[in-house]
Amino acid sequence: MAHDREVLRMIWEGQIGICFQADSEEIVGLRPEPFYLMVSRLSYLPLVTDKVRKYFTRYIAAEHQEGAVWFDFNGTPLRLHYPIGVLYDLLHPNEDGTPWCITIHFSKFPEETLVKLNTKELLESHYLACLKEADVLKHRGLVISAMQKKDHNQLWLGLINDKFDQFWAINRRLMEPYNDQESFKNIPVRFYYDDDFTYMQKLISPLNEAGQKKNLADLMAELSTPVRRAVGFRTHGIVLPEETQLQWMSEHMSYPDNFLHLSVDYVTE
Amino acid sequence: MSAEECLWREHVVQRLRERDRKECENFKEIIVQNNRLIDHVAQLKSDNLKLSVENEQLRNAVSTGGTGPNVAIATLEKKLLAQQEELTDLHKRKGEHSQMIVDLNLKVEQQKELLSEKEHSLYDQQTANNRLRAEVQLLHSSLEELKKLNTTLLDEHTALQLAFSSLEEKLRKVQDENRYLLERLMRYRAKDADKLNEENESLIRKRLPSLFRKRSAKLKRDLEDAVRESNSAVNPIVPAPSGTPLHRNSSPAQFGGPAGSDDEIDEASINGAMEALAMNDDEYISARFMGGEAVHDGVRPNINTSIDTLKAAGYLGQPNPTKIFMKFEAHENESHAVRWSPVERMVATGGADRKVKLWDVGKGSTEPRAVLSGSSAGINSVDFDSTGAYILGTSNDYGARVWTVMDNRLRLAWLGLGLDLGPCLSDYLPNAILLLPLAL
Repeated sequence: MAHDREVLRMIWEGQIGICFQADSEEIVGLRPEPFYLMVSRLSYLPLVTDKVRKYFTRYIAAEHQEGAVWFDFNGTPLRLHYPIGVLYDLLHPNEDGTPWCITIHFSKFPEETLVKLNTKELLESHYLACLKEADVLKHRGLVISAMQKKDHNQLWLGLINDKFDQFWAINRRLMEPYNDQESFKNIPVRFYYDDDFTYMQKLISPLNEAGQKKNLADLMAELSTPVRRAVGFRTHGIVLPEETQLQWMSEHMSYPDNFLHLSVDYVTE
Repeated sequence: MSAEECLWREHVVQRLRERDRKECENFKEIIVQNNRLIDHVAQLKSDNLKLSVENEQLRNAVSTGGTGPNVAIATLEKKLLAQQEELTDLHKRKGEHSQMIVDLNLKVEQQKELLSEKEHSLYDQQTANNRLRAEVQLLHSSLEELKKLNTTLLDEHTALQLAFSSLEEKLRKVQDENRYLLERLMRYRAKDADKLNEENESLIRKRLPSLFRKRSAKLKRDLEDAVRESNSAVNPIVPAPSGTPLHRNSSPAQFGGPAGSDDEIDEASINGAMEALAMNDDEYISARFMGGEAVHDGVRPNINTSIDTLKAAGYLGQPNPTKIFMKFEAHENESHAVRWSPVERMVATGGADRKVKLWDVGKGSTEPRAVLSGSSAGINSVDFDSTGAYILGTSNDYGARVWTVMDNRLRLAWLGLGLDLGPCLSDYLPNAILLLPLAL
C-alpha cells in the first residue's frame, strides 16, 4: 500500500532542467537560442516537447518541418518511450550543475535505433502495455483487467497533465498487495547498467525464502555474479540505501508505468 | 513502519531532497523565466513579422501607385492645407479682434473721462444753480421790501400831493389877494402920480405958460377926438382899468412939458408904474393897448388918413397912446392874454373862460371871428406863429395847446407840463415854442 504520501509526492514532483538545441545542419537563417525547459522525470519526451518542437520549427528548413522529431545527447539518440528520468540517470554526467543539453532533430530519424513512438496514441498504448505487464507481475493481471477503460484513461491523463491525485486515485489500486499477502507476487523491475538502454528484467520476489521482506542488499546478492558484484542501485537520481525494502520501493518509487527502473553499479571482481 | 524502515526511508527522503536541490531547484526559476521570455520574444517576433508584412504591403501599394491611398493622401493634404489656411485666418482675425478690443478699451476710457468731466461740470452747475436760487430768494425778499417801500412812498406821495394841492389853493387865494392889494396900491400910486403931475403942471404953467397952452390945447383936442370916437364903439371896460383913461389923459398932458425931460420923466414914471404893475397885471397892459389897437384896426384900409386922424386924435406920433380906438368885451371873465396876428388885422385874446377868441379888428366887429376851445382852465397867454397860421395858448390846466387859424381846430396839446402855467409869455420861435412862465 503506497501510503507514504510524502515520498510519493517527492517522486512525482521530480523535475529536470533540459536545454534543447537545434541541429546546426538543419538550421536555416538565424541560429536559434537554446530552449530551456523543466520537465518531469516521470514523463516521456514526446509528451513534453510540443512547445520545443514549435519553437524550433521556425528555424529549420521547410522540408524538415514535418519530419519525425527525435532527440539525442552527445550523439546518442534517446529512446522516446523511456521515462525522461531514466534517460537522464543513464546518460547525464553526475557532477554537472547545468541543465541537460539535448539536441532536437527533425530529420534523419534513426530508424534502426529508435522506435517511432512520437505520437501520443502510440505512447499511450506502450504505457498501458507496460502497466499491464507490471500488473501481471504483481497481481497476475487481475487488477488491471478489473479496471475499466476510463480508469486507464484517467491514469494516462493524470500522467500527461501532471495530476497527482487523479493518477494515484487509480494507481493506488495497482499498489495493493496481492490477495492476502502483504506484497506483490513479483516486483516489476528493470535493471540498467553500462550506460546502455538495454535493460534486464528478472523475476524478483519481494519476499525471501523466509518470508521476510527483501531489501536491496538481498537484491545485490541476487544480481551479483562471480564476475562482477553489484554494489549499489540508483534510481530517480539518488543512491538507494541498502536497507531499503523492495516492496516499499516498488510501491513508492515506481515510475508511472509501475516499473522500478534501477541502475545497477557493478564492480568487476 | 518499524524504526529500521524509518531509517532507510529517511535516507531515501534525504537523498531525494538532495537530488531535487541539485537538479531541480537550481534551474527551475530560471528556466521558467526563460520560457516566458521566449514566449514573449516569439510574440514580438510574430507581431514584428505582421507589421513588416503590412509595411511591405503598403510600400508595395504605394510604389505601384495605388490610387486609393494616393487619392486619400492627396485629399488629406488638401484638407490639411485648408485647415492651415483657416488657422492663419483665424489667427489674423484674432489679432484684429484683440486690436479692436484695445481700441474699444481706449474709447471706453475716454468716454469714462468725458463722463467724469460732465459729472464735474454738472456738479458745478448744480452748485451754481443752488447759489443762484439763494440769490433769487434774496432778491425776491429784497424786491418785496422794495415794493413795500414803494407803496409806502406812493402813499406818502399822494399824501404830499394832497397837501400840495391844498397849498396851491391857498397860494391862489393868496395871489388873488396880492393882486387885489396891488391894484389898490396902483390906484393909490396913480393918485399920487396925478397929484405929482398936477404939481408939475402947475410948476410948468408958472414957468412956460405958452408952451403949456399949445400943448394943453393940443392935448385937449386929441382927447376930445378920442372921446368922440371911443363913444361910438366902446365896450364897458372892466372896472379895474377905469382909472386908466384918467391916467392916459394925464399922460399926454405930461408930454406937453419939456420934451426930453418930460418924456423921460413920463416914461420913467410910466415905466416905473409899469414895472410896479407889469409882473402881476397883464390885463392893465392889454387894456391899455387895446384901445390903441382898436383904433389901429379901424383905420387899416386907409392908413395914411387914419394915421393922420390918429395923429390928429393924438394917437400916432406920440409915444404913449392916449385915445381908445376900440373897446369891447372880450371874455366873460378876466382877459389874460392878447396878441396881434402877424399877417392879418386880427387879435387873439385869451381869458379865464378857457377860450381863445379871434377878433377881426379891421372890420371892427364886436363878435369874435372864432372861438377856440379845448382848454380845461383859464388861458394865460396866447401867441401866433410867424406865418399866422397857428395859435399857441397856455392855460392853468398845466397844458399848452395849438390851434390852426384857418379852421379853428385844436391841433396839438401838451398836457401835464408839470407847471402851473400861470401867466406866462408864450412865444413862437422859428422852430420852437418858448414858454416863459411869468408866474410861479
